[in-house]
Amino acid sequence: MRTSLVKSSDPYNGYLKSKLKINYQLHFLLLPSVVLILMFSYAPILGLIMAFQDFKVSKGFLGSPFVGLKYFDILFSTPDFYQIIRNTFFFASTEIIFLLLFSFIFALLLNEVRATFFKRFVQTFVYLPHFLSWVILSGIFIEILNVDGGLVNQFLVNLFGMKPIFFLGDGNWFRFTIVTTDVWKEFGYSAIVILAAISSIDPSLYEAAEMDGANRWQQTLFVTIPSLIPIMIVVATLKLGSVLDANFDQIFPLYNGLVMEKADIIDTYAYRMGLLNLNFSFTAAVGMFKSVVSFVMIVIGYRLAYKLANYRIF
Amino acid sequence: MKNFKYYTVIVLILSFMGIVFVGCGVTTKESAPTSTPITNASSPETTNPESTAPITITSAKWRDAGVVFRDGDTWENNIWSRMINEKLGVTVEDAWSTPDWASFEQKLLLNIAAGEPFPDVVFDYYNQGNPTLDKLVENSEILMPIQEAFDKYASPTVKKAYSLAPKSIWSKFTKDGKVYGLPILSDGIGNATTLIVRQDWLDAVGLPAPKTIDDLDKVLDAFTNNDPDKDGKKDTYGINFGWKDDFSTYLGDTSWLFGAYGAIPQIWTKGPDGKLAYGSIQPEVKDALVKLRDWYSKGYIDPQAALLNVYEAAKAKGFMAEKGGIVAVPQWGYNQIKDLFTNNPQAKVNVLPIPAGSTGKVARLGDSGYQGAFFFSKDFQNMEAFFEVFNLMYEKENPDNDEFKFGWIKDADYALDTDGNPLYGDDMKKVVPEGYYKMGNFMLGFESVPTVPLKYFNYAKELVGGATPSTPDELNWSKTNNPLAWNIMSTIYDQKDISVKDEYDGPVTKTQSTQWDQLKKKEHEVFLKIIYGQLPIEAYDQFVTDWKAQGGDDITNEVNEWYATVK
Repeated sequence: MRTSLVKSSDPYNGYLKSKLKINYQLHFLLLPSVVLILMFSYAPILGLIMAFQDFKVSKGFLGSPFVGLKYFDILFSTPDFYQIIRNTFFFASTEIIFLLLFSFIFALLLNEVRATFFKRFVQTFVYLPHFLSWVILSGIFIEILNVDGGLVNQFLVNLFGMKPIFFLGDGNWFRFTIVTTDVWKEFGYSAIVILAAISSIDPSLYEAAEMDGANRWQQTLFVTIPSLIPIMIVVATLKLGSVLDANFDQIFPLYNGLVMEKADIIDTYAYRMGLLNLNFSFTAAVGMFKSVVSFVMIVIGYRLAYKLANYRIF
Repeated sequence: MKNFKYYTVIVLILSFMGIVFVGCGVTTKESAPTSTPITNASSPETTNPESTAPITITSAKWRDAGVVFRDGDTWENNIWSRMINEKLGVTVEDAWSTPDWASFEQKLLLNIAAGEPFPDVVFDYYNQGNPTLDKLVENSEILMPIQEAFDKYASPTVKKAYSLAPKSIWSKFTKDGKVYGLPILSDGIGNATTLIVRQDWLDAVGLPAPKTIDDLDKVLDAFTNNDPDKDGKKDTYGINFGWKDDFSTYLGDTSWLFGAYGAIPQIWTKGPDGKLAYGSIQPEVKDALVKLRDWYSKGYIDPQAALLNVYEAAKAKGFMAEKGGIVAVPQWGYNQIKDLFTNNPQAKVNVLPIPAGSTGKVARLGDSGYQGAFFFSKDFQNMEAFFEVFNLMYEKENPDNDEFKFGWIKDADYALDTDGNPLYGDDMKKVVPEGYYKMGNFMLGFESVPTVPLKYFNYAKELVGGATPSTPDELNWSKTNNPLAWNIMSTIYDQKDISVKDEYDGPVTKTQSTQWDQLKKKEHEVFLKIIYGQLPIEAYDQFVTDWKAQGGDDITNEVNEWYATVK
């Protein structure tokens, strides 16, 4: 949609005006989304003022006294704060990397399947878990990962003669479990984008490759994968913005005292401080810190996407 | 055809948007101030001449899904609501409700956070380690001080019951000299626990009931290794704990084991110097951790314990599911585990007093004297009407009032036989085929309101001792409670002097508000890791040093400043 509908030699002001006039139906259609975004994404930003106040519900934004950077001070001097950041970063980044990797490989493999019915069936089957809630799944995982007689451990002990593994009670295994189950749940869903990208590759490339005598493997290697790299880079860099978004829904029902050190993330910390202790100013400070980091990462990601894949949103 | 498709899509999108907008609209309507008096449909029937205008009190409640209604009763219109309406012209309306307590607490806190109007009256439970009540008092700007209204409107019966409770019940709800909550008296012992044991397992392994921690060692060993359920599989544990949240709790409690070594974790107790000290950093705790670590390494404790909350430990994933032979329960524990007898009719359960440590020490987490509190919105106009309702709830305890001598309502919670003698519990079925109908389910607040401290414990003790019930009220209680429940209560009562109470009833201190979460988290983590053998026992000393350095000392000072003001 780069080409404008109106070509005009008017000065810029008049150009914009006439463009609005001609395309008013389109703008009208856009209006609800703009209003919703203003209401739910921009208006709450004003609430960040809480981070600089000793916020009291009864006094509101206007009545609560300002305390400057007090809560940021407390946040950065929390002894576990850096550990929490590291945990969050670890979960978010490994989940991003493995999710991309697995969905990429899966999409490539699925693309080679000839039987349409089987292909569709597998595709539906693997993205079903995406629609299950973590609250339900965590209950199931607690049972099947039980160190004493859980399904997985029975399997490991009886078939491989291994010692049972305490998946949810040992910090490192906990991390492993979180990342694995998240990838299991989401890879089918995120493969959809990649499958769509594969189907939009120009068929003439394959025809040309076939003419040159390339077999199926070579076609994948020299046509499919190179064509997918730009979209992969775009997806990966845009995800940079969410490196501090570890999965609260998933970790909250599964974490426990034994794995606290390796499982506590920003969101669970903010939940305990904010909702359990009603310390809103502190939670706002945490949220603001997170947003600033995410913002910086999004800018970097956007620049990278432009540089590496020549992709621009704006 | 193509156009048709586009139109379909547009219509779908528009209708979806419509749904979203309608949804938003409804929510805003619901959250609008609810204080507008709503005329009651049944108000013409009001017989009380004093209250000419019907009074509506808004409240918030969790609704127990297990409640069975009779005769077309609903949550809005039931025997209790009709009673207060006819007698007092008062209607209690739910501003909002939730299906269980956990979501109730969450919604309550969220509503405060969002600045939603506070309902006229809200009841909430208190549990060790649950900060909701503190949080409410801390946000006292939205609440009404109640001391004056209590002095003015509470009936002599109510005041008499409150005089039996310790004075300290008020201090938790006091801020800047004003009382912001009406504490609801506990039964005098509250959540203090005792142990229950599978007697059939004890018989199977041929051991007597354990009296000390050393005896307990042998029993746990046998329960774990000698196949007490005789199914040929090693699928049992000695004892069930629920450690997901805390160590000192109610169901699946661990405080009694720490108590056997001389300190109760997670509460503030008076030290030898007269100052308050935090239980978890006392050297005795280390000995108890060594014991738990030993038990864990020998397989007496389910490794899942760290993942189980207290209910899971006592119920579906622990004792009730026959995974363990011993569990700690409070006086209301019988109802929690009674399904065991449905699952396994052969199961026999006995009650054990809290066992003594090797030095003879016995202690457990004690009761604060209240089980929860009523809070009132600062805009609440009808304090007098509330107390009329509240007094009525206590009227059954008034010896001078014959109206409720046998119970609340004939053919609901009691029946009369042909000679005019009261019948209770299952005996009622001779006269009323539906049997007992519990009015407490519908009362303002909570089913066991009202309470007179220690009354039921005295009943339990008499009944266990073989006495026949002497009053209709005692007969009623004996018929509506199981003998195992009598036994649990009477055992807890016999040991009432071993309960150690949290001496700190003040507000959240300044340092606590920012550091407590971290300290608690660390404490929980270190304790669990020591028990599970993931940290050496020396890690405990490091924890104590860190605890003091990272704000614990400051908090101790702040707590003692408060203590100095109430002493």
